[in-house]
Amino acid sequence: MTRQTRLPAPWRFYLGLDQPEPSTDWYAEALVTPARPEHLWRRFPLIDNGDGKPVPLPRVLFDALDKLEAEGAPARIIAAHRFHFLKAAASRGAGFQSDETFTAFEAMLDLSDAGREELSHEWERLKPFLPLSGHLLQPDHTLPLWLYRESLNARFSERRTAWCAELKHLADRLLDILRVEDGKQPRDAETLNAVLGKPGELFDTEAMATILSVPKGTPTMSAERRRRIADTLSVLAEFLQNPVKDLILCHRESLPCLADHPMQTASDGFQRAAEIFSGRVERLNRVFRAVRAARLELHGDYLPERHDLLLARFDWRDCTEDERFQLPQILVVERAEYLKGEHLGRFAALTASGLPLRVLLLRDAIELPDPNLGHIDIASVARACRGTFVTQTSTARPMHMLHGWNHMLEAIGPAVMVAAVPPDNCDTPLLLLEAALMSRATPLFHDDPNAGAHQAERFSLDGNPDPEAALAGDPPVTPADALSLLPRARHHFLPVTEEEPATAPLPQVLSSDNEDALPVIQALNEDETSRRVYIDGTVAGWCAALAADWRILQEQAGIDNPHAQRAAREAREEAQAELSQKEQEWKQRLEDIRDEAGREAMTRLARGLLDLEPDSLLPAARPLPSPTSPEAAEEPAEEVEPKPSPQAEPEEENYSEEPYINSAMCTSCDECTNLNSLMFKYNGDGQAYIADATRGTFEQLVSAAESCPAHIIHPGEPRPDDATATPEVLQRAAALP
Amino acid sequence: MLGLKTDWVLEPEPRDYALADYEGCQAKWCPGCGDHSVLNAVQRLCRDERLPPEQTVFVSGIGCSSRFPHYMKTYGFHGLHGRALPVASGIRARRPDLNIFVATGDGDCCSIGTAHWIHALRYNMKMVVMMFDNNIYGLTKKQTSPTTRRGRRTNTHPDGAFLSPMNPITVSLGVPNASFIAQTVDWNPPHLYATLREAFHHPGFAFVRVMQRCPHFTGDNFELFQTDPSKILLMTHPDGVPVDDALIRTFTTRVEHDPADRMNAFNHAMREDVLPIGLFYRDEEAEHYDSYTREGLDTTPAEKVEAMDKLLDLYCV
Ligand SMILES: Cc1ncc(C[n+]2csc(CCOP(=O)(O)OP(=O)(O)O)c2C)c(N)n1
Ligand code: SF4
Ligand SMILES: [Mg+2]
Repeated sequence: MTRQTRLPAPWRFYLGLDQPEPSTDWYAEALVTPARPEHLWRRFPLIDNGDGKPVPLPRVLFDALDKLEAEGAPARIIAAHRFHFLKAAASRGAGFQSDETFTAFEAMLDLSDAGREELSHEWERLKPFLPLSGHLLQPDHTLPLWLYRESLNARFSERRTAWCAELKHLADRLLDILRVEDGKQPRDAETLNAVLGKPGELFDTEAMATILSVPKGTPTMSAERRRRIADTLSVLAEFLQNPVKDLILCHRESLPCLADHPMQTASDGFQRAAEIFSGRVERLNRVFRAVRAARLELHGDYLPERHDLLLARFDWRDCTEDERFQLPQILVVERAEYLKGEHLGRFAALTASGLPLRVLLLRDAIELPDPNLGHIDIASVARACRGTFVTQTSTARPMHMLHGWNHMLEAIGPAVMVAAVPPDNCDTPLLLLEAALMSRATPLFHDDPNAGAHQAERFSLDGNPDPEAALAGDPPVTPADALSLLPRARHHFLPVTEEEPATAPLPQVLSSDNEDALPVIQALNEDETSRRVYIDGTVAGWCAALAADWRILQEQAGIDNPHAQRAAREAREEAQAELSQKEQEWKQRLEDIRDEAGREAMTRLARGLLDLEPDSLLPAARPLPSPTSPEAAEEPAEEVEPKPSPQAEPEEENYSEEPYINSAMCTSCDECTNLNSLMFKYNGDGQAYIADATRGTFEQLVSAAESCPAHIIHPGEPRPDDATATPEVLQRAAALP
Repeated sequence: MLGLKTDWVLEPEPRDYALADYEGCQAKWCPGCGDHSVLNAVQRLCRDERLPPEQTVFVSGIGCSSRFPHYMKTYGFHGLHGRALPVASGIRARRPDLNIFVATGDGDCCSIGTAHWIHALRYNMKMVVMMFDNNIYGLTKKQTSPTTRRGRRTNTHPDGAFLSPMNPITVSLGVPNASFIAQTVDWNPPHLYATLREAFHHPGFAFVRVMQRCPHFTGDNFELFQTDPSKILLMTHPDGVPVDDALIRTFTTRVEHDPADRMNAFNHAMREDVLPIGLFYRDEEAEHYDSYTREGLDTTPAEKVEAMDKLLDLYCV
């Protein structure tokens, strides 16, 4: 009797004990829904005509066709062969020329002469809606740098030009000051002689010089100020000749590059970047100082004893928003898998430097962890440094990437972009990128430390498909599905042939619903019948790690946060408990009131019947307290006694003994101040008030009031010793309005 | 950067001004003249808005009211009769950095200067225009002006002015691209000030007609409105001249008027039973001629010579 000691083959495969020949008779592409090709091809190629807003060419084309259709002049042939048109565009390489594309497209269709003529009419109608030329972008590893340049141009060029214009303006005005200074001639006898002829001939120039030298105009500038202005001017002029320079640092030639952007290859880009930045920004610091000095000089406000010191300490860290766009943009481009050992240390040093340096890390959208290094998530390393802007993005989502660049380039500190790109030699790049997104192998996020003080404000998962779910898609796409698209990863998969041992779909295993079964993914046979495929333990472990990472990201983005959920649950329970307690109390109270009211009614009725007092048969004076007003139930309403009315105060008569002016209405007409400038004066607002009534007579007050065009002078009562207060004057005073 | 920015210490010291910083020569208007009131309101406005005197210019034509620039300690241009607005437009064209105020009279603006007035309204270049309307030629001693009321005896019409007066507000409202038209009275300093302040903050040409008392020649002209404020129609609106409780108490006849409503502005401006004050019309979106004239301000003299030479070279034979 032999005992079955050998493990079943699928288990041996799972544990890596067997390495069966990879089989090729199944495929998974069709199941990665809705990442199916027909959903994807509308997104690429993008066409970019340099305005910083690349758009998908298919969309431009289809919109144009729709518009023609709606206008009643459809382009039927082109519409029917639209995919050929896109193919013709893509086959011409990166440079899109609408006419060339059309010629290639026409060649693809086998048309009769009549058909060709019809086609060229259609083309004439369609052409105005299409860009004439542009650059076609595919979701490959060149896309991130292209979008970098787009963002740089769109956000920086104009601002930099405007700033230079401002610098030039400042420089010109400083030059004006110097020019005026040069025009100031000394008015000594010698100069006067030169203008007016020999001394004594016509004028006594000696005598004139002594009179004219009395400085009347602006005094001559001090030598110190002159030197300061000249220095400032030279810094500004030097910068205007030689403005900001950006740079891309690349580790290897093989990395993508931008033809017309300054690039350098450097094996230690992370270190070099900081050195280069510090060198270039030192020059800019001088310009920032010069700008401030210039502004102060122009107002004549430069105070050496104060500003010398402050300016000497001023650097780019204090600069304004506008000036931040002048800082050189130094970008380091690197492959993510290259960040091992000491490079990882240097990368971390850069992100901790606080300098506004930019890093682009390219990573394969799908990659199994390096068995020697384990699962290092490079985006998390970057996020570990407070103050570093980190975005993880994918070439499948160019708008997310562009958005990332826009924020990165304006970040005050370091900024890192981890960009998922399709692996080399991949036949279905877009499908793979999409599967990586849906399976959370490369989640999209922005982590912007300047967006707020709280995680909820700074961290965003916007742009991910179905961000609330563990995996996107129906059925859900797992990282293993994505991996199965790579021919070189085939040996991690084994098609199911027998029913033993038990299997479970991978998503179920990942959500820990089924821990005893071997995980499988769904695939198709050649004949499109469905079949299951085992995955090995390495892949299963990797999938589990990615699922855990995603859960943490969700938690940070405020989706599915266990802390918040617990707090909400507790709050709900507490509220519920309080509610039922209250309910209980009310019921009790209601009962009590009913009892009491009933008793009282009975008592009154009985007494009424006995006494036969007709009045008491009238409805009870005291209404039943309603259960909704507890106070009424608790405290019987007090008899309202009329409050003793407050002692009727004699209305104070608005008599003022003192004369006064309603100054706010004064028209500053000088009437009163001309009459007596000691009594009437203007206040700080230039409006009259009575400064000192004792400096004039009652008669003057009355006259002023009579002549005041605003009728705002009130003479008040005469002082007892004022002899001018004759009956006639008192009568005039009484007649005042 | 975190924490305190050092940059603010490098800003030029903010300057505070007192009324005295704007007080020029002693005003030589008659005592009781409404011009004093406008002068005071303007000086307060300059102080409150912290206008650097060296960045501020007052332009005027000829008339009593046109003596205004002399009484301001700012830059000034006391020009030719009727020609304040062309001078002010010229200043605005090439010195958009200055604060520009224009003082003009009913004779200066609405008689000899009418053509300039109409076009200046249309150009909509940023400036505050104060039209002192005393219904008379004051400086030349009591001649009929375009706004003199019919029947008023003047030196040119001893038996009374023949024609009905012109209405500068309806005329202004009829000019395309006019963008700010207001009316106020000199004898209510709070309303006067509030109106001028709105005008100052308007981005274009702000035309303010100030009803101005001339005690010497037209002493009784506004007496009715002064003694019976209910004869004044106070136009109120959140977008109009702001009014406080005191104004509300003073002016009991009021109407809510939206300054965006030009047709209704006409209706109010035409009323003869009351004197409307407030903002008739405001359009901040109207285009500005000065947005064109200020182009190329930073060309240096050398560049100008070069451009000129280039142009002249075209005519070389
Ligand atoms: C070209 C020219 N014509 C006529 C005059 C004479 N003149 C001087 S002031 C004036 C009228 C001023 O009236 P107004 O503008 O209402 O100013 P007010 O004195 O009333 O403030 C006239 C006609 C002149 N100075 N120049
Ligand atoms: S008379 Fe009247 S309005 Fe004129 S200054 Fe004196 S208080 Fe003011
Ligand atoms: Mg006048």
